[in-house]
Amino acid sequence: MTLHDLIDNTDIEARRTFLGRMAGSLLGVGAAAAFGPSAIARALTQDPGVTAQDPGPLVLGRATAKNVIYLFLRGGMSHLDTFDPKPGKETQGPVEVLRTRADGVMLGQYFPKLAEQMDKVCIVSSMSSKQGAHPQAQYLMRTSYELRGTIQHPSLGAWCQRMAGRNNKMLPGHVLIGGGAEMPSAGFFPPDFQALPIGSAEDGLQNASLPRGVDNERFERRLARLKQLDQAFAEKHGQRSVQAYSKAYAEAVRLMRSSDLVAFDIELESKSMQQVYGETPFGAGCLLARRLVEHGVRYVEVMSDGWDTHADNFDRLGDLTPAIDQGLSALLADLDARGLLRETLVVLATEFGRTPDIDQDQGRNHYPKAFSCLLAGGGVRGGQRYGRTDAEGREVETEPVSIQDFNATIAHAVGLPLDYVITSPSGRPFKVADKGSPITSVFS
Amino acid sequence: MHLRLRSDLLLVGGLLLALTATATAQDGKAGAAIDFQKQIWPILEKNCLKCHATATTDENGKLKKPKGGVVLDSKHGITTGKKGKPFVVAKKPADSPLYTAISLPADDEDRMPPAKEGDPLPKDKIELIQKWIEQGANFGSWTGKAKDAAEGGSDGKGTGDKGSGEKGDEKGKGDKPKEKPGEKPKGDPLVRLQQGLKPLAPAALTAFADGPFHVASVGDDSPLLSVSCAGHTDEVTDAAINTLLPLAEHITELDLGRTQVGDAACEVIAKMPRLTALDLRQSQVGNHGVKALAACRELRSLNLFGTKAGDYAVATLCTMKHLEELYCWQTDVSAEAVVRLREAVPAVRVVMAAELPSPMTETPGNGRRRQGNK
Repeated sequence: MTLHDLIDNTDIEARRTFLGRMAGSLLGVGAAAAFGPSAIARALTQDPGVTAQDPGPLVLGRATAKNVIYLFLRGGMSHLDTFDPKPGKETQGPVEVLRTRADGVMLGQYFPKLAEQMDKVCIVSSMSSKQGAHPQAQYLMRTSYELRGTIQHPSLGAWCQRMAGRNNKMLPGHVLIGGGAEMPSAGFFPPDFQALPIGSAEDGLQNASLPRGVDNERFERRLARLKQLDQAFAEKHGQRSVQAYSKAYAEAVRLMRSSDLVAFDIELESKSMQQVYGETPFGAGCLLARRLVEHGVRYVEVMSDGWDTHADNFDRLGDLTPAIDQGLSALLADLDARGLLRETLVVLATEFGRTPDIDQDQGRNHYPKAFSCLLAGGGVRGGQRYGRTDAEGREVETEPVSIQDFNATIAHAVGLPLDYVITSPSGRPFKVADKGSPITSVFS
Repeated sequence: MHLRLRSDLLLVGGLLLALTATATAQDGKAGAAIDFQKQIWPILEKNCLKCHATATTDENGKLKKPKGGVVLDSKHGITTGKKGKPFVVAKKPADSPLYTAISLPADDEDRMPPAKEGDPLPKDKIELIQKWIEQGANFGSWTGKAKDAAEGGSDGKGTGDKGSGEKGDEKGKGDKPKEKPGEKPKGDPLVRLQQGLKPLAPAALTAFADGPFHVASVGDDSPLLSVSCAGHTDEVTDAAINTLLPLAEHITELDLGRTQVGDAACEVIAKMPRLTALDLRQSQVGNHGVKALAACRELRSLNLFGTKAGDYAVATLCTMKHLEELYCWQTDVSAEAVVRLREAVPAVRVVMAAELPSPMTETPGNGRRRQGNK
């Protein structure tokens, strides 16, 4: 069965949705032009008497961060072996503990380079949730809502683009590096808010240059012909999904011609800089994230896979962590020296922790009850640990942080109003971090 | 200071529960609905309030606090509970301390009221409370003692109008701890700088919609502006900066990173008295431009990364007593010049070089390409 048959055989609604989504994800570039300067103008002219349904004009809060780089370790990173070590306890296993540049903040042995950057980092070691299954927990982490069959929630990146708009209107509002199609993205938002997926940071943005043998003039002719063919259909069917299609084309062409296209090419960095980030998918992702943020992309996510260490936890961590240690340390140091860390919140997150008890396979299993995430830059005070777990890393003892609280903290840093309600097409109200409250005390 | 508003969330949760409860009661599924105000409140009033009333001051000016922080004379007190646990959980008497505490055996030290304060409640009263919780712990229109001003909120007007009552609570005290008094960092320069500053007319801002500059409030409807030009860095030249002059009084953050601007632009920037953060990274600005910036008395953060600025520029910054951050990686600025700047402005953080990790020599196990996604 060809793709065409497949599309033909689906019912018309599903087909439209599919096409609309595809239009959005082809290049994922959308026009959030309704925001930015005009949003203030709107806010200033808006009638103060708002109705109960209308959440009123969107007024952004004082942001401590302009951009977010969100690093996600898929599979559930062990908290004990990394950012919440418990030296001398049986639950620590064979992992040694490192002192860091931050007084009293210790790390597992796998992060010697990050130890030198800990003055910039806040460890949130009191993360706690009830969701111990991968897809559900990953979804919760990135949308603040439970995975349901009836609705797709937008990811935090989509919320950020929707509420705060884009800094660089030539580039996509948010970019997802190394993530798959199953990642929550625009959710129920229009396709404009879809993340631009970059499969591999080393390869950069694919299909962004003219095919061989097609010069500019010929390309123009092709575009004109395309427009001609589409026109009648677009006039007849003015739906948003149809518009999204042509919008995606227009934006793609604009991006192809933008001088900012170079942001996607990490080969333009010196070889030594590439080595400093580490020539791994994750390191390259961090380097690409830095380039994108420099060019005004607000929200960049970098995914790292393989953290589900049920067996051989310690050997596996030995393989997995060097890329993170290298990439994250380089990112923090490089952003700081460029003066960008002050306005860029770097987040390292995972969906849950791993069991304090080590099983017979030298493995650790899923453990949502207590886990650790990191925050750095973007107004966050470095060199601190927020929240504590007990002596063996089993229970959160002080200042528990829910997944929604954690996401609310990110949203708060970017100045997104947490109580602003956006209604889904099905008429249900949603907020950027559900009912989460930000941890305001981590900010300096 | 612990600023998280868990209790407020619980309040909202409590209200939602109450709402569900009303619905159930109205459906008539739960038999004869128990009226809180008529049937339950008198029990609490008689047996509990001696110790568990909202804090008051007696005639002698002595503050009487509720025992154990347990407040039972307001719906807020009951539904907020203590340590994140409400005193009643609708439909779950076993999870509701209000019920469990009174139903413990008489010799249990946690039993309420305590032995020295009085006898256990009569069995029928305990069952009534149990039943009330099973029915959904509906408070009806009762809200009890109004919350004090510090707690804010929209209590006191009853919950008859459920929809708006809930919304009011959620909006009014919702998730914005940063509006709590005392939260804003002391001496936040922007708070001082925006005092008495009239916001620009909307037309003055919309004029920028089509230009290379992205102009936005710094947030919270402040009249102070943040200006950037990502996506249009090629178009932003010394001439383009002149178009910002009408905003000169209002601009507090200006990001000209990677633009074409040079020293001449700094003459214009010098006319921005409220500028606190200026990003000139990888622009054409050099020593003379930086010298002009000394007029920006409020400047806190200056980014000269990758510019032609040198020691002369840094020397001119010695008069800027408010300067907190100076970025000068990949410039001609020398260590000696930085030492002199630090003597003049001790609080300044100067970033001269990136403390990059040593390069990765060998590719670790996961350097191999991932094989697709799960």
